Amino acid sequence: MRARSAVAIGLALGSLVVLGILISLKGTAVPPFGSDPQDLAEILGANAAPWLEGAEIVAWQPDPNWKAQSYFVVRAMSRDDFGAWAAAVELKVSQTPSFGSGVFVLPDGVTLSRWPEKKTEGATGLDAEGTTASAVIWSRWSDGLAYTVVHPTY
Amino acid sequence: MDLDLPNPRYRAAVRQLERAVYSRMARVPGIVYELTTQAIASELRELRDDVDGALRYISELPERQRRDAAYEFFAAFFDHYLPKKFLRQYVYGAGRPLVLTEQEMIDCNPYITVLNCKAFRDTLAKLAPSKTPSTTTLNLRCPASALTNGTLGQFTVPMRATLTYRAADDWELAGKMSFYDGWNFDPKDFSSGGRTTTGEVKTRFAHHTLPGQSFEINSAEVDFAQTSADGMVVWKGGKPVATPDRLGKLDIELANSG
Repeated sequence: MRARSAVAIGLALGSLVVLGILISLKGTAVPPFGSDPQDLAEILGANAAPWLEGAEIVAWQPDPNWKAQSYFVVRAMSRDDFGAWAAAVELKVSQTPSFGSGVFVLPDGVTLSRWPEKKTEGATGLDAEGTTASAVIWSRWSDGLAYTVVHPTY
Repeated sequence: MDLDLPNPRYRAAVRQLERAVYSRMARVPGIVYELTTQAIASELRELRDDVDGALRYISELPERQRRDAAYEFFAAFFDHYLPKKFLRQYVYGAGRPLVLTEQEMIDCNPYITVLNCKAFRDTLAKLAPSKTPSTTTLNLRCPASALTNGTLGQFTVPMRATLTYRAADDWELAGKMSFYDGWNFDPKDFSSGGRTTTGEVKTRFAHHTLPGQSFEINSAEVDFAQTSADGMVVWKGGKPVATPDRLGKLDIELANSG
């Protein structure tokens, strides 16, 4: 009897809370789930914003209670542009591979149209990596494309 | 009750009487409790359109009823056994710690990568200029996240491991890891805390309404490895699978419905 009553209380209140949260979210126009590219622009800072235009961006957000665990970005750019992009986000550029291919492993369920199976061409391209106040960033340029992985540090 | 009766038959009868009286007395608190709980349920039904009023009502209940009502209320958000276990510990555990078994670690569905560990990245950066293979013993504390809602959220992974370094893009870390978390409902900043708006709202709601005490969670030590070609640690738990709570499932359905 006690357990049934308590569960009934819980369920009744639970439905009210759901309703309350949904109403509050509707009022502030905040999406209940999903990290949009604007979140990434805020994480990387104003200097990065132009480099995100025209890019394919996918956020991996497996938990609706937490913001994205990582962002994957692919964008066409020249070798010179890659240097400018790296400077904009204060990444250290290297002409030799400076990190392993594990950085570019996509989580299950994440797909990007131009993301290759394995990114091991660092030797023929450029690597750039660095940290900001709110993220760790790895970026690799190869054959006219820049592949970037961002792990926010909340 | 000792009447010091000489006849054993009388003594047996008295003992029977004792047992009958005591068993009825022992039931009294339970009967009162059930009646009280029914009254609480009835009162809350009256307040169904007034969330603030209902929460205020719970907060003003006597301690035992308040804890039970709040525990049942919050446990109803979860299908998974671990959040219920942690909630129970929070409400009734008086701050006592828990130690997770290996299976419970797996059931947290953790996403762990040493790439998120600053001390590890610093070690790689330090080794890079030498260009010579080396072996180093490391003690790390890496941030990680549990994808089973209501379990560990963001937590810490202490690691005792050996780094075999050949080049910046060719290394292997292998050793033992465990989980550590201080389990509570601490509010975080909406913009920089890492939680989504719904996640932060839920946490703050629990913080203000669920009576309980923070407690520490540690775990068994288990084997793990990660190489430069791995996106996350390789261990018995495999790849994590997102396991949302009931509100999370609703969030996902809403997001998918466009």
